Amino acid sequence: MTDPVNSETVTLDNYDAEALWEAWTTPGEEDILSRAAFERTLRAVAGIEDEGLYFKPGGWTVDLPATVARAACAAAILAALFEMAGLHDVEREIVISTAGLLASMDVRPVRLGRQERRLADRLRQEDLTGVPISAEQARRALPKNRRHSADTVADSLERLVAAGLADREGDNEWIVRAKGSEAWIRFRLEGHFD
Amino acid sequence: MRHRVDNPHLKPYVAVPTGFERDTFRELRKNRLRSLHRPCVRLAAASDSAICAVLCSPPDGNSDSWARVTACFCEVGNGRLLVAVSFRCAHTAPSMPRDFDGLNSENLGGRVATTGLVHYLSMADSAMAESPDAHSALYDHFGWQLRAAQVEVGHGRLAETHEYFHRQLDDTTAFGGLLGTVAALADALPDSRWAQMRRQLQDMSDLVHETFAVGMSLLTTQRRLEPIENYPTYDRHVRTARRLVGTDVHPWVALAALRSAAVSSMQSAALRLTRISGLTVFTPSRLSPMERPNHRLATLLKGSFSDLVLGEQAQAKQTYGSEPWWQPVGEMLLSPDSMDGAAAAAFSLLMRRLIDQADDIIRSSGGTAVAWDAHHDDLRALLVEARQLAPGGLARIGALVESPGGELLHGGPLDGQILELTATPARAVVLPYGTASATSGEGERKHAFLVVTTPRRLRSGHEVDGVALPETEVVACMRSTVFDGDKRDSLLLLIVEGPKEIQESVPIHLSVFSSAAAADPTSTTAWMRWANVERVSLVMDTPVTAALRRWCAEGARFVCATRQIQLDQDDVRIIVGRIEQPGRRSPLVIIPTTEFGARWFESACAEDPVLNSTVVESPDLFERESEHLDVALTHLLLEERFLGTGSWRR
Repeated sequence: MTDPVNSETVTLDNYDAEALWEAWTTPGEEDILSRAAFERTLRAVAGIEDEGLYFKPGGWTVDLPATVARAACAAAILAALFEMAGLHDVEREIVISTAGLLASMDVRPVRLGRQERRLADRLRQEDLTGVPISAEQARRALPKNRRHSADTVADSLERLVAAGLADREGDNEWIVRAKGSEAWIRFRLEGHFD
Repeated sequence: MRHRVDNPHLKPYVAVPTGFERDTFRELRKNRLRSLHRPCVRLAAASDSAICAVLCSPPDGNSDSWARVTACFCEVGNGRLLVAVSFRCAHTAPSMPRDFDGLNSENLGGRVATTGLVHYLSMADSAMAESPDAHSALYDHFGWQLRAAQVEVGHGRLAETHEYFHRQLDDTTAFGGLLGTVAALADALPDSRWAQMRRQLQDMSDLVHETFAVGMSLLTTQRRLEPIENYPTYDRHVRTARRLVGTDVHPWVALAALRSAAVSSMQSAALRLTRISGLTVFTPSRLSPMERPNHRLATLLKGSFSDLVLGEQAQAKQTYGSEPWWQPVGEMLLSPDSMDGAAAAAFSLLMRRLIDQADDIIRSSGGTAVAWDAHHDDLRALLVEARQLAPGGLARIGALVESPGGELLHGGPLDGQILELTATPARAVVLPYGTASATSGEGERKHAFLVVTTPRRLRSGHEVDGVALPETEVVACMRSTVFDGDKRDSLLLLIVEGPKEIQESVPIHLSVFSSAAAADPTSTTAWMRWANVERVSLVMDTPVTAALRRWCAEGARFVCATRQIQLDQDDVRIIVGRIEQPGRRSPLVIIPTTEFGARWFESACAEDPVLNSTVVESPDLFERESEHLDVALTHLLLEERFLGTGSWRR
């Protein structure tokens, strides 16, 4: 996105779309079907969808509220992902509304500390992947000189869940994922519920 | 002073056969290509001269092949300019001096329809000012729309040939027939599921459509398969075309490869499955990926179709590398001779081999390959069902609907082209006849112009004020332009109930739109019988090709001529003619089109057996009919926003 017009509006153009696609896609021969899904969805959300088949010069540019531009980009990538995953007929409205929800969230990467990474490595070494374990079981798998309290280990396991390396099974039960089967993306809804 | 300008843009089209025409068409192709070599006439306005023309020699450099030029430039006031020009190719022009020094008032041949036009001079400072959208065009499965703008001919050709190839793909393939049928239902029943289905089907085939249209339009207008300057959003389609056929392939091979890949991608079982399940039950999302054209195209890319093309390229180079047509000449990358005679036959064989190979790739991935001509019965059956779903009637679907025998005709610019003109005022005021003067022009040229049209046309072209338009299929109104000083402010439409109501002391000229004649034949026939036959025209805003074939089916002739008319920012070609039979004479038929459309008409006349034997060129027709044409063309070109054979749908 280029040249903010004001604090709430951004200008999106075909070169931005190209740059976004190139940043997202893997190098090599283009997957034309995913690219088409990306383009169609981006243009639909940005309100520049054409009925019929145009031939016109100059590309396109559109001023959008920042939230809409963010939703457009998210929806485009989501549509490309669905296409790659073989989901060819997901309703565009569903893609767009899902992306809109995602784009309105504050998305932050989960950063694991040394302690959490060691815990994950240790549990994998001990063949404790794919089976439910408690915080105490995980604590006992650690070398004696690195055994913290069960509460601290439970916090570390929660961080692994957030990072996609483990899944929460119950109140005091987690399943660590095997290497290579980590979750791509995980959403966590936080808030105050009255 | 003689001007000769070698116009670099006057390169011939390469007419690519769809590969499936009858042999008689192929034999006549050479005539068609030769006609595309006709000399160019470039006109320019000089600030200190009222008349200025530049003549071009034809590409073959034959100095005997002069064009006969009739040109009038009228400059009035400060920078206001209006041009009308006629020309025709004349290898021998006995009435003209062989060599003459430019043009002046003495050697201007014949009259040109400018006198009336001067009355409506525009305020533009430059006659060549370009609109930002002048190079745009839109295809919507019925035809295409474009601005009637004065654009550089190469760009104009590129945009229109691009849209034409969309049309060709829809008209000649199974999935295109399905898409066209659903698009017609969406048009006829707008508040229904058909619009959603049309979008789904378009999304399943748009990559094939764009790759084909971009690649074919580039190659047939003598360009390389490279990104088009100032069209950045088409770069990815150029990339796809290059991946599909390779980057270093002779255009003769590349054309065959592009069409083969597109045909194989579109010849899926989707049409048959729809016909079997029924249109109302059919759900596009139930089509397996390999019956969707875009997926089939992706399969060809992954299946190394380009390797097969390279193999054909090597073979073709070995076989034809020494042929004159294989070599590029200057900027001409592909000689028109490459589609004639033995080369044309070899091209068809090459295309069929490539189709077979593409079909094999698609079949090995689980797709169905329908032979190129095996879908026609399914399409006819689907059309029968579609007509039953839309009791109010369907718009044209390919050429099937307009062809009484159900013959498959491939549609062109004379069957669905919409030209948008810029000169007309935005506003039209409707009043009852008798409440204001109906006359236009001054002095000896004073006249009344009566138009019989549809309310839909009036509403689509203007913001309509005043009294309500009648709730009838057609409406007759006296029409004139209202001026505010020099500015053309609005149109005045005086609604006329019937011929008996009219009381004018000046000549009355009548133009009837063909869409109005189709909607209400009784009242339009009454109007045409009432008027003086010398002052009546039928303006074609509906498909022409089938109509001409029908009119000329029983020994009649279409005596016609084509002229270019430029005005202010617009540039159109007008085909004018009469259907003539012993003892009968039709109203003047007016067909507004573009340069591409005029060339298409030439080709159709050369290739179509019916048109070839019945269309007769009459070079001086415009001069003979100038009394009516001066008036009718002035009003049409300056008071209509949309013209062309698809403009009834606007």
